Amino acid sequence: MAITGGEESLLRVHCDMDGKHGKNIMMYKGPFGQSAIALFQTYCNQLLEENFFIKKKILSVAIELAQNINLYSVEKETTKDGKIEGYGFMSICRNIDGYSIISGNPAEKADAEKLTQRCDDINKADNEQLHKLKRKLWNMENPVPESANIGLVQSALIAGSKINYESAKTETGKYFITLELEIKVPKS
Amino acid sequence: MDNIHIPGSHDGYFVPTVDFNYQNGICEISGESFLEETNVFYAPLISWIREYTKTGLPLTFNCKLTYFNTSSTKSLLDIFKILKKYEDDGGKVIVNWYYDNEDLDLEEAIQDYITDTGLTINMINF
Repeated sequence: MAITGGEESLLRVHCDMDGKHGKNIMMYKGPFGQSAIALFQTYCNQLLEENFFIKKKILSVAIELAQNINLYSVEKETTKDGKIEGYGFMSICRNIDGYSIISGNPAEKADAEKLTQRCDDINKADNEQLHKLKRKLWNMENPVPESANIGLVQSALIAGSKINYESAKTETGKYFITLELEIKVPKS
Repeated sequence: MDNIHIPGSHDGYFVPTVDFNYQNGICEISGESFLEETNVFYAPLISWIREYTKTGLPLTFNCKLTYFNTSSTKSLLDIFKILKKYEDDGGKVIVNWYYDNEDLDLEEAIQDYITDTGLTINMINF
């Protein structure tokens, strides 16, 4: 299955990885369900040569971004057991300061706007304001549609970085959204 | 009331280990929590605690979760709110969260629960 209309954006981001984002050490493209999470878990726990806390940060951010793709991607795939999973890509890049975790998926215009607005809100907030925003979101009466937004706040808290994002209109009229969080590794 | 025992697993999703014991009033949840259907998993746990608080007996909640995603976060918040209300109504509640004090992300997450609920959570390094 191809990501219609998003492929060009995906390839552009992928090509950037050896420069701007660092060396691409993991790239996954496909449905973001249980098997993808298992893959990230295996990768982070067994293949990344980092201490437990850095691995945990990377996996935590990857899981939240994966859920984001699952929820917002307009490209869906039905698994053998009938589950519908959102389709997109995720990449982990190693650079001189640490890691970049990048996700991408096609989304409806309204969802893309909602996500980028949330990213802007997050990027304007300091650490204390992010904690307040997280607590505000988790106390909302109807948390399900907002869960990805809590996930973005939580990801920003864990990564300790702003969320870089791009939202580009595709030829199909959908929007291809890429999100990037950086996790710095303290120099030993 | 029946006790609850759920063995934890790691099969793509992370199912925490759960032991809720009516006889000694100790509820324990440990491991990692990232579930396909978070609400389905936590609903019986929340119901159990609600029922238990009707007995007026002391309750100790030991949390040994090392990782939980944001969906699980909300369910844990619901549990802590019930425990806080029980305490406010005169129930005896002890909440312990066992964690590695080098895990600053987890420490901040626990602090968020304390700030939001007003519940005393004993943060115990182990």
